[in-house]
Order: sequence, then C-alpha cells, then structure tokens
Amino acid sequence: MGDPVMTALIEVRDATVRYLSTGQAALGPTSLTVEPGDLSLVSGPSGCGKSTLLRLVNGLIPHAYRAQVTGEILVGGRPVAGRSIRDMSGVVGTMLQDPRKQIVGTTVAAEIAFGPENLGLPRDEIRRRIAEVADRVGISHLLDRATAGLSGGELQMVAFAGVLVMRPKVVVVDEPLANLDPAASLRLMREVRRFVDEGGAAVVVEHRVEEILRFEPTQVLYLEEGSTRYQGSVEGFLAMAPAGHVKLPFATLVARADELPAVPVPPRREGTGGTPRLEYQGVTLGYGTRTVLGDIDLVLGPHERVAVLGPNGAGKSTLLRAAVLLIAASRGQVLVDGSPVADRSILSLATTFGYVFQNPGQALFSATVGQELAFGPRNLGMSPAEIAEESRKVLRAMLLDGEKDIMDRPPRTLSFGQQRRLTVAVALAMRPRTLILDEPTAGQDLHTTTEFIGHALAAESVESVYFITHDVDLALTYADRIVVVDEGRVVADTSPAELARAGDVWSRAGLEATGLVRAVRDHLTDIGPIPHPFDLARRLSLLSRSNPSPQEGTTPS
Amino acid sequence: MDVTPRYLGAGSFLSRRDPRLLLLVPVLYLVAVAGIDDLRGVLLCAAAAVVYYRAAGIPWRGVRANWAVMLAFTTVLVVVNSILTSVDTRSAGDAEVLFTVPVTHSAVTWTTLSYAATIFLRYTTLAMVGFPVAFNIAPSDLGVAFARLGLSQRLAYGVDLTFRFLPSTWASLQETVDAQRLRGYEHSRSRNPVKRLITLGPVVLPVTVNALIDAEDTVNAMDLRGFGGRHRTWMRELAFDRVDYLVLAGFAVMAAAMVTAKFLGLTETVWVP
Amino acid sequence: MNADATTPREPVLAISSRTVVFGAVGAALYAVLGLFSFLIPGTQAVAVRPAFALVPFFGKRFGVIAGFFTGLVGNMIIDLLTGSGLTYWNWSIANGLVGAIAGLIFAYMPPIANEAVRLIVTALGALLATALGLLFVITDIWVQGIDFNTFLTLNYGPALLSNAIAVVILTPALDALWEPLSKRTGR
Ligand SMILES: Nc1ncnc2c1ncn2[C@@H]1O[C@H](COP(=O)(O)OP(=O)(O)OP(=O)(O)O)[C@@H](O)[C@H]1O
Ligand SMILES: Nc1ncnc2c1ncn2[C@@H]1O[C@H](COP(=O)(O)OP(=O)(O)OP(=O)(O)O)[C@@H](O)[C@H]1O
Ligand SMILES: [Mg+2]
Ligand SMILES: [Mg+2]
Repeated sequence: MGDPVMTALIEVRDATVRYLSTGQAALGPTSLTVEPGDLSLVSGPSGCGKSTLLRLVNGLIPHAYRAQVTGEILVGGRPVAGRSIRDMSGVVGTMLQDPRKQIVGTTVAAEIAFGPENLGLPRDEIRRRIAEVADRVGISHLLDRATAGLSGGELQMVAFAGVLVMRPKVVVVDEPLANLDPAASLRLMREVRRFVDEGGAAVVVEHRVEEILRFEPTQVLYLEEGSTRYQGSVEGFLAMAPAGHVKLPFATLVARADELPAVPVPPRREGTGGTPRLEYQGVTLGYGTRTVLGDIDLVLGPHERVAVLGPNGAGKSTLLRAAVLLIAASRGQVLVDGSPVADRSILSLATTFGYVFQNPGQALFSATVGQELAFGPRNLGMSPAEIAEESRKVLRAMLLDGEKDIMDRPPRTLSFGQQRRLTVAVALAMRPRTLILDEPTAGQDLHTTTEFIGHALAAESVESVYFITHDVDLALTYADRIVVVDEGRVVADTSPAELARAGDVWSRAGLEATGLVRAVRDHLTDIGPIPHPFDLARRLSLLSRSNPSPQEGTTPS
Repeated sequence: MDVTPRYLGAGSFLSRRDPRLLLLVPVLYLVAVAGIDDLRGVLLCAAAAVVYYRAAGIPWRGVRANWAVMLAFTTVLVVVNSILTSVDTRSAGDAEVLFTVPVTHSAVTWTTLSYAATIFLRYTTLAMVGFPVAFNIAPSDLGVAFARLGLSQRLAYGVDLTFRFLPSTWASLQETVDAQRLRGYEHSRSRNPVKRLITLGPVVLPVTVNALIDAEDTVNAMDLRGFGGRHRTWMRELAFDRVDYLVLAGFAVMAAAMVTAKFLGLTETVWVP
Repeated sequence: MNADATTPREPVLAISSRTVVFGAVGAALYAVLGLFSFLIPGTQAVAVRPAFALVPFFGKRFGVIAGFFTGLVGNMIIDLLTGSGLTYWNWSIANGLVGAIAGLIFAYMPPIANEAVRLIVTALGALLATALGLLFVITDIWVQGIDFNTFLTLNYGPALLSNAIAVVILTPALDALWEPLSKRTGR
C-alpha cells in the first residue's frame, strides 16, 4: 500500500476506546493507515465500532465524547493528543451520517461558506473557493436556494461541498448512502473517488458494500464487535466476508454459493382478490401550489406485498401518506376498502393501516417502552390485560423481547435499529390489517434488514405490506409487486421478475440495475417470484458447473 | 402557518440601509417615547415613526394579519390598563366626567381618553419602527448585524442558527402530530388547563427530544468545521454610509430632545385639549 | 461511571458551540411550539403557553447562556411572527431571565439521586426561576405607565399563574425524559 517514504495522513496504531458513560469498550485494538491516494472502506454490523473509529481520527473522541483511549493516533504526522478538533479539521474533513443534522446555513452558499468563515479567510478567497467547489460537485445552480427546501440527495452533496471547501487532506464519511437513491449514491461516491484521485484520501464507513466496491477501495477494514475481523485487499475481503451480514456483489455470491446460509423467506399469503385495500383514482397530490404527483391511478390489493421504488424526492412518501389522510388529494379520490378515505375516521384508518414513518423517533415520547406500546391501544379502548398481552406479542414479533428489561427502558435509549423495530411494534400493537413501512431498512446492516423485514412480513393479523425502499434487491426479493414512482407519475407497476427485465426502467434517473437484476434478466426465464439472492446464486452456481461457459451478468462491473 | 421569516420590504429605502441601523432605531425610538405622557410629544415622535414605516415599503397585504393582531391586543391592553383601571392621578381633579364605566365604576374624563390615546399611539408606533426588523432585514444578515454591534461572535451566529432551525422544527412538529394522530391521539378539548397540558405531552416531548438528539450532531459538525475560533469572517460586509448616519442621527437627536424635555418636566402631565 | 452528564464542566458563562447550538435549538423550539396557547376558561387574558416550560428546562440542562438565549430570542420570534414586533421587548428579556436564572439555580445544585425528589426539585426550581425572571416586567410601570397595583394584578400575576402551570407540569416531564438520554450521548 502506497509509497513507504510518504508520511501517512492518518495513522492509528492499536487504538482502543472505552466510553466512560457506559464503561464499555467500543473498539478493541485497531490499526488503520491512510496515505494519499487511499480509499478505505470500513464495514461491519451495527454497533461494531465504525463510527467510534471515525470519531477517533477527527478528534471528537476524546474532545466531544468522554472516553478512554489507548494506543497511538497520528493525524497529518503529528499525535492528536493535546490538539483541538479545530486544529485537526485542517487535515481531516468529516461528513457525519445524516446531512439534515449537520447543515448550519440557511442558504446553500452560506452553508458552504461556514467552514472558511470559521478559518477567518478573506472574503475574496471564500468566494473563489465556493465557486470552485460548487462547480466541481455540480451544485452551482443551488447556491441561492434555501437549505430547508433541498431533497435528500442534494443535501448530501451540499454537505460534502461544505467539507471539501475547507481543503482537507482526508475526508472521512459516515454512512453517506443511507438515505440516498442508487443514482445519487453513485454521484456522491464518484466525487469521493475523484477527490482521492486528485491526491486526497478517503475513509468511507458504509453498509452498502456492493456500491462502494465499484469504486475500487484500496483497503477494506471489517470490524465485528469492536475487533478487526479483516484488514486488507478487496479480493481477500470478498473471500472472507460473512454472506449473511454483508451485502456482497451477486457475482461473489455465485462464487461462494456453497457456503451461503439458508434463508427462510416468509411465506407468501395467497391473495384472494376482494375489494382493493387502497385505490387511487386520478389522484393529484402536492404541497401548497406545487404538484408532486399528478393523475395517479393505482390499485393495491388487500393481500399484496408491494414495494415502492423511485429516486429521492419522487413522491414515494407522499403517495402513501395519502392513504392515511396525512395529505389530501387536490384532485381525484383515494378509496380505502372501497369508500373514500376522507369519510373514514382517523381511528378506523389507524386500525386499517399500521404506518411507520421514515424517521423512527418522530413518535416515541413515553418514559418507557411499555407505556409507548400502550398508547395507541389505549386510544382504541383496549383493556389493560389486552394491552399487556398485545405488547408481549408484538415485542416478540419484532425480536425485542430478548433485550433486558425492555418494557422499562426509555425508548430513545435503544439503538437506532431497535428503535426502528419498536416503531413497527407500536404500529402492530394496534392490530392493523395493512402495514405501511417508509424506508424501514435505511442505514441498517444486512442481517438486521433480513430479520426485520422477514418478521414484519410474517406478522400475524397483517394481511398486506406496502413498503418504500431504495434497496432494489430487497424489493425484488420480498415484494409480489413493484411500483416505481418518478417525475410525478407511476412509471412502472409490475412483478419483480418483469421489472428486472424491463430495460428502460433501469436507465432512468434514480435507479441502477444491481447484480441481482442483471442475473435475473440473464438467467431466470420464468415470470414467477424471484428467489432469495442466496438461492438464486446456488442455482446459478450449479448451472455454471454443468455449463462452464462464462456467465454474462455475473461478472463484476 | 409559515414560520420562515418573510423578507417583504425588498428594494425599499430601508432595505438598502445597513441592518444595524434597523436594529438601533427601535431602541432610540423607545428611549424617546418611554415615559412621555403628553399626547403632543408622542404625536411628534409618531410622525417620525410613520415616515420611517413608509420608507420600509412593506406591502399592506403581507402584514394585514400581523397588524390586526397587534391592534386588537393593544386595544385590549389600553382599555384595561388606562380606562378600566384609571391611573390618572396626574389629572387636575375637577375634570368633567364624560361617562362612568359600568362594573368597575371608573370615571372616564378627557384626561383618561387623552392618556389612553397616548399609550395606544406609543405602542402602535413602536410596532411601526419594529416591523422593519422583521421584514426588511434579510434573515441571513441578522447574525452579522449583531456581531458588528458588539455581541459575541458565537452568540451572533446562534441567531443565524435559530433561523436555520425554524423550518425544520416546524416540519418536525407537523410530522409528530401526524404520527400521533395515526395512533389515535387527539387534542384535548377539555376545559381543565392541567388536563390540556398533560395531553400535549405526546407532541411536545418527542419534538423537543428529537431536536435535542439531532443538536448533538450539529454541535459535532460545527466543531469539525472549525467553529469557535477567535477570528471569524462574515461573508456579508456591512458598512454604514452617509444616509445611514443621517437617519441614525435624526433618531438620536429626537431621543435626546425627548429625554431632555422629560427632565425639564415638559411632558409629564397628560395633555387635555 | 457515575459522572452526571449535566454537571457543568465549563465555567457557567462560557460560550461553546454546545451553548450556541442548544440556545438556537431552544429558541427555535420555543418559537414554533409557543405559537400554540390557550386561554384558561373563565379568564379573559390568562393564556397558557405550554412551550414556556422549555425555557427553564434549557436553562437547567444547557446552562445560563443557552437558557437566556432560548427565552429571549424565542419570545422575540413569537412576537415577530404573531405581529407585535419588538413592542413588548421587556417581556422577551423577562423570558430570557427565566432561562438564565434557572441555569444559575441548577448550576449550583448538587445532583439528586432520588427520582421523585429530583422531579419535585426541578418543578420548584423552575417555578422559582419563573417567578424571579418575570419580575423584570416591572419595567412595564415605566414603559406602559401603569401603577404597581396594576402591574401586580394585571401583568405579573396572570403571567406568573399561567406560566407556572406549564412549568410545573411540563418542565419536570421534559427533564425526566432527557435524563437517561443525556447520559446516552456520553458527554
Ligand atoms: N456516546 C456513546 N456512549 C457510550 N457508548 C457508545 C456511544 N456511542 C456508541 N457507543 C457504543 O459503542 C459501540 C460502537 O458504536 P458505534 O456507534 O461506533 O457503532 P457503529 O459501527 O457505527 O454502528 P452503526 O452501524 O449502527 O452506526 C456500540 O456498542 C455503542 O452502543
Ligand atoms: N411537508 C412538505 N411540504 C412541502 N414540500 C414537501 C413536503 N414533504 C415533501 N415535500 C416535497 O415533495 C416532494 C416529494 O417528497 P417525498 O417525501 O414524497 O419524496 P420521497 O420519494 O419519499 O423521497 P425520499 O426518497 O428522499 O424519501 C419532494 O420534492 C419534497 O421536497
Ligand atoms: Mg455508526
Ligand atoms: Mg420518503
């Protein structure tokens, strides 16, 4: 790796971290060297210490978090001990996970100017830098816009520009792709790659490994429970990575077909037609004077699993919010079980649809999980005994019953993934017939995703699940039907297998054909449901053994 | 409701002024009118306030609702404070009683009315010189204006940051209300204020806690971008030009004159026509 | 570790980025939530503004400066949005003082282990801060030209009553909810 004469930009040697607030070790002895031209990928299950490692190199530990640190950490060739965060920000530029929380400017230009202003640079210099950076990451047209009105993808780019404008030598980014559609992810990673190619370096923490691998990281660090499971080249990583925990490229799955674990796919409920659960008749939806979706005709059945795909800001959330009257149609009519949604009381809607919002914290307010679960059912007039019984049931369904004293824990002290599952439990406690999930798996590792979505789909009493996601493979694997929303319309509405074959959909903005899509297109002939990627990989591997010609579509791209 | 600040007076005379001027004028105006009980004195100041307000070029349609609230509130205040509970110990004593307010039995004289008009005028004109602060300063100029007025650089940035948080807090409030409604939450219609407050918990608590949790990340993000150094550049350059100085001087002279008059005892009696 | 995350590790009046951000968040929250108020039935002018409970809470948890900023700027924005402009500036300062005084009271108070006692002390401390801070509207005697009696019965009294209800109920609730979370952030 790199030229030994060059001084490393970041040098972490056998560092350990223990947070003082809990007294628990979060990171075992870990080493990481980053030199100019390096693109390092850090991955691992939720809670394994990835963010902790980043906090170590940008100085947040120990300056902002109280923690005990051992080992040696050099940034820009100098030890971090005794240096301030501000001092190190000249070398390490950091992008934290959620751009919404780190934007400080009211306008894009003010936001990008923030760092240089703090450095006390002259105004002309700042103006020059803003123009240059905005041009470089392609956001010049946004400079005068208010940051509050930007889409997720735009916001992420602006946050990145705000880091680049300070001209750091290394950028470290924590889960940059969690809320981005595939195309926006690609754009962002392309900029990161370019920064590295022009003499910088980058450390990227991400669960979406497959998408990072396209950008040829120079090294991969795989952590598990705070200790290093693997450190080295991409090839070695692909050979060792636990398939159930890391989302690997499909070609790798085929190559390692023999060791793939069995995955139970939740049984599909036999759909007995009946009145549609949700029907849009020429519906137009928008905010204020702005139309987001126009003239939508869509029928979702009572026993279907429907995935909604589409780029950031296409109106996916808006579409499903109309089902529970959080937004009213400006034209047309939305029917629930055959009658106009506007005629239904909010309580009857609440028992028809269990709605889980994009941001899990929105509704958690009680002092304990028990009270949180009881809130909805109590509003429905259930008896305390019923509520207790129901709470136990939903906690079990959402795999939360294993957590110690879960009923007495304050909900917001749970981990992010646990909070997400709790919000689903909260929705299930009201015994809805249809579950609506808005990006349930954003920012979670593959294992959690699999477990979580499996249980949500299998929950008793739930007849149908409609979910919004950016994870194309998740949609293909778990849905009976996929609706793609883009440019204010429904641009596709078919079965997963047909969607994978519909070439024109994948060339649109916001969607990218994954390895799984290509494999389905190239190798699956029947129109039936798409098998789980592991099963498909096993099938293809057998096929290729009996037929050794190179398989198109399974080659890495 | 829209909580984002509205920049209504674009292009007007006051919008072209240095934002510091717009912050200083209300202060000087307050010094001028405070404690003046003589209607004629307040009328003099009011003339200046009206001219100043006209120069702000705030379209009437944009602030109609604001004025309605302001006038209604002030009217109630004036009626309660100066007519129902007449405090005109300043009056000559043998003034002609125009009528007596039922229930409170306070006598209304010309003095009372003159005094009420003085107070009313004082408030409305204070609002007039205050409105340009809300509608003629671009929100992004507020922080730098305070910084240049001598407030701590960091606190001044806090003002900018407040405006950054307004729209997101509003959005978060709406989403929380939506989320809770889907769990069967309804606003309490109870007449018992304690009960009403308790039922607000499901909305107020998550909005607050969410904002606080997010703020931890904002603190880190700001530190990571070097916030808090000794010297900070503000992209917006502020400069007092000659017109700014003239306007400021005008209000300063008015304030000085009124304070002098007060000391000389010229304005402390209620004027009766 | 038993270190209490609220123990101020910095001088009481230090202005760090934490102070600035939490002051700004507090002001924005107060401004947005403060737009909602309701009249106490039977009274004409006593409006309860539930969000007022945020002011002593921010003072207690994030310090004197953040508390002052929350009350002052938050109330000013409410006034600007509802239309009274800067006319009632002294009420804004009074709001700020409530936050600042709450910050002072709790900065010098030893941590309390018992949860029930802590709730009660929080309510009482917040109430005291409210009572003291709002005294600043005594300047109305000078600005509005009212006498002391009117000040007491028509300005200070009702304001204290309505805000006290909000503070006593919501401030401890907020504080209790934040308690476990403040530890979670590990600072
Ligand atoms: N401020 C903190 N105080 C105490 N413990 C913490 C703190 N932050 C993280 N931890 C703990 O340290 C461990 C590592 O956390 P970290 O945030 O680094 O994980 P991560 O790999 O980034 O996970 P994710 O993918 O969910 O973001 C976890 O057990 C977590 O609970
Ligand atoms: N409350 C709102 N007020 C005004 N505009 C809104 C509001 N909510 C969403 N929008 C706008 O409507 C459009 C569609 O938003 P929506 O949230 O439905 O997109 P989405 O497809 O769910 O995107 P994402 O993948 O980022 O979640 C976006 O341009 C967004 O900015
Ligand atoms: Mg993390
Ligand atoms: Mg969405």
